[in-house]
Amino acid sequence: MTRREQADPTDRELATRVTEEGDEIAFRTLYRRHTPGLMAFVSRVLGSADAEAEDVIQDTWIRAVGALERFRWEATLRTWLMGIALNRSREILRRAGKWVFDESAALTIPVPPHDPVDRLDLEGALRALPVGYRTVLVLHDLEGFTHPEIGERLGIAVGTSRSQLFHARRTMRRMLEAPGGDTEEGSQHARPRRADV
Amino acid sequence: MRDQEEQTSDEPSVDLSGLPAEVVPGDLLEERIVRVLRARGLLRPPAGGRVPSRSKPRRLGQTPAWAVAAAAAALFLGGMAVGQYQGRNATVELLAAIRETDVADRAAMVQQTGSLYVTALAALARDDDASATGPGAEAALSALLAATRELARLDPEDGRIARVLGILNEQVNGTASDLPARQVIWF
Repeated sequence: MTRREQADPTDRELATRVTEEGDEIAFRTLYRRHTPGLMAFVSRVLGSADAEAEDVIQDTWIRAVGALERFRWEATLRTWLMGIALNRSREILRRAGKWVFDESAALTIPVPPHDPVDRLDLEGALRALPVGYRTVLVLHDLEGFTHPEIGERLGIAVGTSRSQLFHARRTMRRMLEAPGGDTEEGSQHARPRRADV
Repeated sequence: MRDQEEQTSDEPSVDLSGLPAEVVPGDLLEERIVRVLRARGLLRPPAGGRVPSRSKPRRLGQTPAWAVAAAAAALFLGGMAVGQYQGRNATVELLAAIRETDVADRAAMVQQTGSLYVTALAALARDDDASATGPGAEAALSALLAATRELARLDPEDGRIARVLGILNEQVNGTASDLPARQVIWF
């Protein structure tokens, strides 16, 4: 084993130590390696406070360690963990009645404030998106999943994933535009309006 | 995962590069998860109870109030002696020396021992292993309380000492009224 391997074991090596020996150090290493990325992902999917995201992260790790022996390493550990976290997030959103992918639904989208200084930042704009838009945007544009992969994970049609992404991007642009800016839509809405879905 | 070809011309893009890729969770989450996994028999505590320390520095805002008070009082006790102690006296030698000194030298001894105390606490604070630092923190708190009581006896009218003593008493004994025998004037 090289010095680098000793200092920086792979996910698989660490996972083996966890499953075979209950090695806590190995688990903590995995946790610290993947949790910050997972936390960012879950926070964005939930669009809510850190405490709720932390609960999802906790459930994710507990489920993952319990199922680690059966993980076949056909995907990366990160992708697998994200899948578990996404399922858990869906459960929470569904229970709260927020898991909606209905494109015909009337959705209220926040408009950009008149003062450009107070414009929604990226994170705020993302949080303001309807959950379907937000989830597909995060999975596709931030995490690099394909539409077929998103469709499979979310249980939606590939076409739905594409249209959700289209609307998500368009809504994001509108929210981030400065009122009175170059585009035709950003300055036209003084009150909350319905999204063009 | 995704090919560029998958993006179609009717999907207007949004620059999301400004979003952070990582969000650091609260410090307690890791311990919470480890405790659950231990309870389920999925993890075994490491031999010796040592866990790797996190590289993330501690933030004062997350430190318990008693620890802030203890640190403040420790600094008070150490005072300007921090940095003066040069490691020439081992603890045992120092204790022996204290007993042998006359009154004039004892102030200097207080400076040296205060500096030792602060140095030891700083070393403890660099370790994130709660199982290892816990007893040390308890010992530090007890020593701090005892030292503050002596200080209060030395100068019963010093309101700063009285306030620190009140906080420490509350933390250690659960009461703020456990003051030294001499009257302390609060102001």
